[in-house]
Amino acid sequence: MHTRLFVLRLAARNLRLNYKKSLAALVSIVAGFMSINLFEGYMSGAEDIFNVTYEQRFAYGDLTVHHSKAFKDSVFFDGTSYIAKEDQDKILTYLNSSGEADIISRKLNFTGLITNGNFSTTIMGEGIDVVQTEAMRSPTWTWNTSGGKPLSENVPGVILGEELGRLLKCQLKDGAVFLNPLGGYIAEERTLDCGRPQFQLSSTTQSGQSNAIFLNVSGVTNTLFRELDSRYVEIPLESAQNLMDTDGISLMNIKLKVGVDKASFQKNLIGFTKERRLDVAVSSWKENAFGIIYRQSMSFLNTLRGFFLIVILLIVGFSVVATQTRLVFERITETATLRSLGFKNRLITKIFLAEAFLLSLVGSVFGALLSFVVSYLIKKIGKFYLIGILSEKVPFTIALVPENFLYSWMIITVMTTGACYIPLRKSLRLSINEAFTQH
Amino acid sequence: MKKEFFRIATKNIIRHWRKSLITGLCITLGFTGIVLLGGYMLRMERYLTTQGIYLNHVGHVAIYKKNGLERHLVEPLKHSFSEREKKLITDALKDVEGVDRVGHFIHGQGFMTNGCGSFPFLAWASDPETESYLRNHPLVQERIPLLAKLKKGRGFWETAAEGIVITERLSELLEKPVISGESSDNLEAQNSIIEDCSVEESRKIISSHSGVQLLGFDFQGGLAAIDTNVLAHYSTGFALSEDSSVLMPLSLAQEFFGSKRLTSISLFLKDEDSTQDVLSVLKDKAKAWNLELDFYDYKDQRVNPFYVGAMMFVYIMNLFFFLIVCGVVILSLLNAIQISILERKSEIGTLLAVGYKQSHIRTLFVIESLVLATVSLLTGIILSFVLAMFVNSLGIQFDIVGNAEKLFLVLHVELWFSILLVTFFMLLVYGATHFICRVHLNLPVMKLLERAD
Repeated sequence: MHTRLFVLRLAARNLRLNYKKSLAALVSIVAGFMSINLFEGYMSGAEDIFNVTYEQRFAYGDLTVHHSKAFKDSVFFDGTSYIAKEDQDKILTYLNSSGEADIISRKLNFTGLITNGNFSTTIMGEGIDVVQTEAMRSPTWTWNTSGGKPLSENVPGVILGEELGRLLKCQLKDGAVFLNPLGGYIAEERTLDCGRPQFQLSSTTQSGQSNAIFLNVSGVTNTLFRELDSRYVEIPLESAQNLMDTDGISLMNIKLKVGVDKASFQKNLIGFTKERRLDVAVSSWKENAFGIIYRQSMSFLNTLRGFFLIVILLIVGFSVVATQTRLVFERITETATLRSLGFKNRLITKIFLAEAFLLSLVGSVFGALLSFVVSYLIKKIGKFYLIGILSEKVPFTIALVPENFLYSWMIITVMTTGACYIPLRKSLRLSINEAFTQH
Repeated sequence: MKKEFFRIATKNIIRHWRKSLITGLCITLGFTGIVLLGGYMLRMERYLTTQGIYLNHVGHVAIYKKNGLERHLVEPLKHSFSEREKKLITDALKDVEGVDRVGHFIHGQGFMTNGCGSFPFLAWASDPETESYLRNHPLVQERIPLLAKLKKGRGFWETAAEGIVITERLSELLEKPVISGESSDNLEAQNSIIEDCSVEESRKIISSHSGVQLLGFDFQGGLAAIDTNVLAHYSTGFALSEDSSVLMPLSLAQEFFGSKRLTSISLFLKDEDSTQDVLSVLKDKAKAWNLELDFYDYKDQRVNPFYVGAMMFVYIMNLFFFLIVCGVVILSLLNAIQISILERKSEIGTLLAVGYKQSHIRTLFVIESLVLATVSLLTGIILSFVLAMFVNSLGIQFDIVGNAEKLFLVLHVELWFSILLVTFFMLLVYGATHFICRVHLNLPVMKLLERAD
């Protein structure tokens, strides 16, 4: 302990004495730390947005249960593969008795036509458990309508995709403003004028009969995906089941209680469904058809991260190696003096490595501070940008995650100490005489 | 004098070859990284542009009736071109320079049913000649050949048989693996009446033939229905439209929608770069037509949202990468020059003592940096071309967010882009060297001649 303190004190003193040269290495370290941390922060920010969007906004929760033939490679329901009432009850009984499920919400997908008397168009709808879905959307997306009110405030009603609303001449006076960079709307009714408030929704039941229901428009929501936004409607589950003349559902979403292990819960639930011979699939949105955009985005970002890390680490690495090599070789007489005074090579190595360690620590602290500043500035500027198929701009965010700071610091420390160790070994291989005469 | 400076600078680079090598590598790597990422950006740009213009029927310029783009699905009669209007516009376009082809399209919606289940569809209808032109265009064949190729069967532009082309996933939802003309296409089963859809036998009948029914509303708002056959399966390229997209011949769409009207008219140009010129000529001509029209070029978000969105994402990512790489390169460079000055303080002091001016020393350092940068950047150009060729030969496939199909990673490394970047890097190197020299050379000669600490 005493030796360690001595080494650290000596290393700190050396850094102070050689501060001008150390400063040069420090600049490279700060740049390297910041680059890694900012990119990791961007990736974490994107992951956070995806998690909130899929788990809360789309209310998929932690796990989804659906018929094994439904949603195979598509987010659209095939119109036939329902989970029958009897099977739903079995699953619900299991979930309630396990005590690990926090919220269970059901969905029924359907297709059909919507008309307000003047205009008609095709729709892709969802019937939802209003109360449970609202709980699932909490806290960010509890109020999910950019115009009008959510279904919980106006049951029974219909929520339209924003684009569908425009097609049906629903006027939204003021657009909604996001609560925070993760999304969510401020919970207040925004004026929505659809002329005639009542809409007719019609569809064909499983037995091939035409059916129709009438609902008052409650609000409009942005579904995030352009292709969906002009066709999306959301109605209460009971209304959808009336329209489709079924007691089946297409999807059951489960949000687990805090602390419940998702993997083991999923395994147990799959075991239960197999034991009862229920023809259903249990998966997370990250694995199934709903998460395709998430998987594509993260795969793209991961590839870019690999490329980015190679380029940045090589550039920073070269710079650090150059400064550390120079620092070590300039002090070769100093190391020779220490050796002639009886210092062992091991202790000298420790002193130099401690210097490199302290340098990386100080560099990382400065890098972290600058990352905070950059992240704050980006947040302050509030830049939103479009991504591919999305109908809504997404915020450009740099998430400040402790794990990222630690990860960046570890990379930088390994690089700096490694860059110091290699020339040091070379210099210590020289005899004391050689070291004095050559330098 | 300059020649002498150049000689001294080159000598210094060689003398401190280790340091020069490391600084040079930083510049080479940063430059190569940006060029390769630029190559990826160009690949995306060309892929999405070609997809939007040709396979999505947008054209270089799309013409709609006023508000037609937004409202043609719910008010098709009001927001479509009559035959007279179509003739007027098409005739006027004949003498517009640079137009390669004029495409006439109907875009409509409805339900497609197999007798048991019905699914919404969005259809693009065009005449077979136009569709053939679009799918066989040299740019399509060069940039997106896989996407243009049908998954199965032959399109209505390749065969005399009448029918529709649907996406592979829609065929799965409809349980229609069989296409028209296939030996397994059971023509007799098309006339069978399905009484109970829950019976397995009904499913077998459905999937044994290529017949489907289209249901919907005609342009006048009346009910529309038509029987047709699936000729082929294709991919739109977009993940979320793979479940509901249909291509059909114009004649069939006119029969189904009960009208000879058109939703849009698109112009396909000989040269992509002349789009804005043609657009302005078109707007001038349109004044004489006495029609209320909307014009869109292919870069307009409203008509080509995926292109704009995807490219925006790529631009943001590239800008982020570019700024960070440039930042790191410039810091490394400042670092290297600073070390160089500190190491050569006594050398600089001596030069000043024998009559050199500070500006001379600065010029010496600037020339040294520029020579080093030139060599590094030339290496970077060669390295990026070699790496791009290597990557391109690997045949790696990758995803574009929201795309249904993977595409080949082909890095388009262009010389003009490299030259532009070289210029930028040279300015960067010049600025950085100038700055650091100004900061560190402002010392008295005696101070510089002191032994370096």
